[in-house]
Amino acid sequence: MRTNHTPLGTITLVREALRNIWRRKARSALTIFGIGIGIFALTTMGALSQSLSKSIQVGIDYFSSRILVTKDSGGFGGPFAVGPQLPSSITDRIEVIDGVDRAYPTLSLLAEPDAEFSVASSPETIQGAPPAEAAKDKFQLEVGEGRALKAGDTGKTVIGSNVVQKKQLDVGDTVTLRGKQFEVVGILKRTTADPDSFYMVTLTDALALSRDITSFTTSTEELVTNINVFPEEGVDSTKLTEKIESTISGVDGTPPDQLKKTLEDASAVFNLIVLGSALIAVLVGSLSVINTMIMSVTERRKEIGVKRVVGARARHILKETVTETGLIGLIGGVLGFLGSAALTAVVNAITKQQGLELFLLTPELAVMSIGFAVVLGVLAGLYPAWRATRIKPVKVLREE
Amino acid sequence: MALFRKKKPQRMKGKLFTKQDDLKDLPPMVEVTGVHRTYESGAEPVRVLKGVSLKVQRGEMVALMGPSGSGKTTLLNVIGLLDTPDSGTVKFAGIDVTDLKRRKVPLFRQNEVGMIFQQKNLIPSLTAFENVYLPFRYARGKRKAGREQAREALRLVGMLERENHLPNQLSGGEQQRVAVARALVLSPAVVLADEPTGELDHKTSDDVMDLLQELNEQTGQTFVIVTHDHSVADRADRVLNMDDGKVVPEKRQAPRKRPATKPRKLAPKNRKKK
Ligand SMILES: Nc1ncnc2c1ncn2[C@@H]1O[C@H](COP(=O)(O)OP(=O)(O)OP(=O)(O)O)[C@@H](O)[C@H]1O
Ligand SMILES: [Mg+2]
Repeated sequence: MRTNHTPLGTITLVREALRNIWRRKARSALTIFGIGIGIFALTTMGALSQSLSKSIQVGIDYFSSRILVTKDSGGFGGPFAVGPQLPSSITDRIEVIDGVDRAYPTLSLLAEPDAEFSVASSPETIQGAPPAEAAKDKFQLEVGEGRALKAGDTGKTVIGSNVVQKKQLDVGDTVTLRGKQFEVVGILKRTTADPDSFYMVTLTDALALSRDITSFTTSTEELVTNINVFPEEGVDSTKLTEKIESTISGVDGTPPDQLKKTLEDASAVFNLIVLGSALIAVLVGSLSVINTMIMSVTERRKEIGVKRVVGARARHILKETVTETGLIGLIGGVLGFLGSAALTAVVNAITKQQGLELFLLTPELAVMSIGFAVVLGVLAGLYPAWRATRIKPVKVLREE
Repeated sequence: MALFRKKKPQRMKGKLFTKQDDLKDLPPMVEVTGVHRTYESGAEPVRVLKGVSLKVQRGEMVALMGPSGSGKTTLLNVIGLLDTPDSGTVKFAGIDVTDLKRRKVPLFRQNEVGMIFQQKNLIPSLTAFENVYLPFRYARGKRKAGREQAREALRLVGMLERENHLPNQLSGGEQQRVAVARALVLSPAVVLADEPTGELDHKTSDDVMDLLQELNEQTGQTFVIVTHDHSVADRADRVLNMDDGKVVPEKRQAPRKRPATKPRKLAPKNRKKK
């Protein structure tokens, strides 16, 4: 006896399942709607967390190569601080510490001094860095149009894509930053992260802007926001951070590992909450699939009995039932996904004007959500299908 | 796989199989001996079959009659291996199938037994063609040939033009024709029909019986038909009467009635395959 089985005609199988779905229109529609809502939530939340993960990844890439030294603020601000706060002369003192390869200061200023921080979007900032030093970094923000800053530039800026949109700027245009005119020489490629809201200028220009603001102070010291420290090859950055903190008082160092962990933890918690709630929605949807299919199997027990009489085995009945729930999952999944795609596109189009793309709907996410819907449909079908295989033809054929 | 088919006569035209005596040397197609079946579902066990014995010869068309509750359906289910007897044996062509391994039962049923029921025979979500094709869907290695055979069977019952219609687009008689086609499509040795005309009017019932009778004569398949209708029983070679869980010793029947209408032209060689 051969052990391989002829597969059921897939087309007939699918066609029958579709007819069965169609037979109970209202009930099927509700079930599909249930799954669809779940997948809609899952896809939308997934798109949100994808966009967040991507921004965070940019941050991780940026920070992971360096130790960021800031003013010891007792835990507030840290690597995300802005404004002048640290004497730039510290750079020289750090550079001579054993294990430090190089170091350079950067100065971040809010482009609009009274801009408010919001959760949804980062404020526009002026980022001053010495071009010659920054050019040596392993992680580089890519310039899409125009050119990067170079040593000796004055009154030049390279801007992020959000700034381009908001201010309708192009390469060659002039923009006023804190009362001074700057020429746009380059535009950064979109990162979906903080750099999209950057005005990058040379450190010298940034210091000059900062001095104008703080002119009422008597300090003659050049103040910067942070100092980027790059360890020598093979040097443990956490140990080096401790060394810097103990050598120079009043500073706080953030080693890349810790930063990376902080960012990743934040992202993981966010993803967990967001996807967890969406998952609950999907699971509720799949309960309705189980319920619907149990009803259908009960209604069709006579048909199932007839099928057994003409030679169907348990696995055939199983396959037919699961095909139907898998299809319900597929239809619900596709509809839910399309709904989500429409919503995220609309929301993105609106928020883009404010320099923000809230959702990132990747092809992977599409495949994943729809695939998940199908898998869930199939899983939800298993129990009703198992019940269907228990149906005894002798019993059901007696029923009227 | 065609365990019994080889021994079954091919097309039975003419004299050879018209008389039962000619088959004396071959074991009967169906032989039921001392079958008991008791249902234990309620408080009181229900003794339904109390030692049923019967023989059906190859190519015979037998009607099974008897009062309601006498155990006809139960007996048919036992013969079709849908139900297992508590004691006694069921033999097909001399081979005991009572204790056939459970996983072999579907295969046996597919190949050797076709079943027709009174009502709700067809799968509502499948077209006439797909319903007739259904046994092939579940049969191994037969799916290709099945398309043609399913069409052939539909042609045989005069339903080919309606092959793409769903059951709810067919009348009761038409549905029953399709059910007949499905029961026959795998060329089973035995066709078991439980009140196949029970829900049909007289005219339609006659048509379906004509069809069954023609098929029986042309293909030589063995038919056991449960019925309450004497006009149906009159078409059979023999009438067996059941009463209180037993087959009543038979009296010889008058020769069977010929089809009321002129036999439909059956497609040639439709049963040639082994
Ligand atoms: N699962 C069961 N449990 C208990 N009793 C049963 C069961 N199945 C059948 N019976 C009983 O067995 C008896 C015979 O039933 P069966 O269906 O074989 O009769 P029948 O001769 O086909 O009757 P009818 O002509 O009305 O179709 C009936 O009294 C019925 O109630
Ligand atoms: Mg009955």
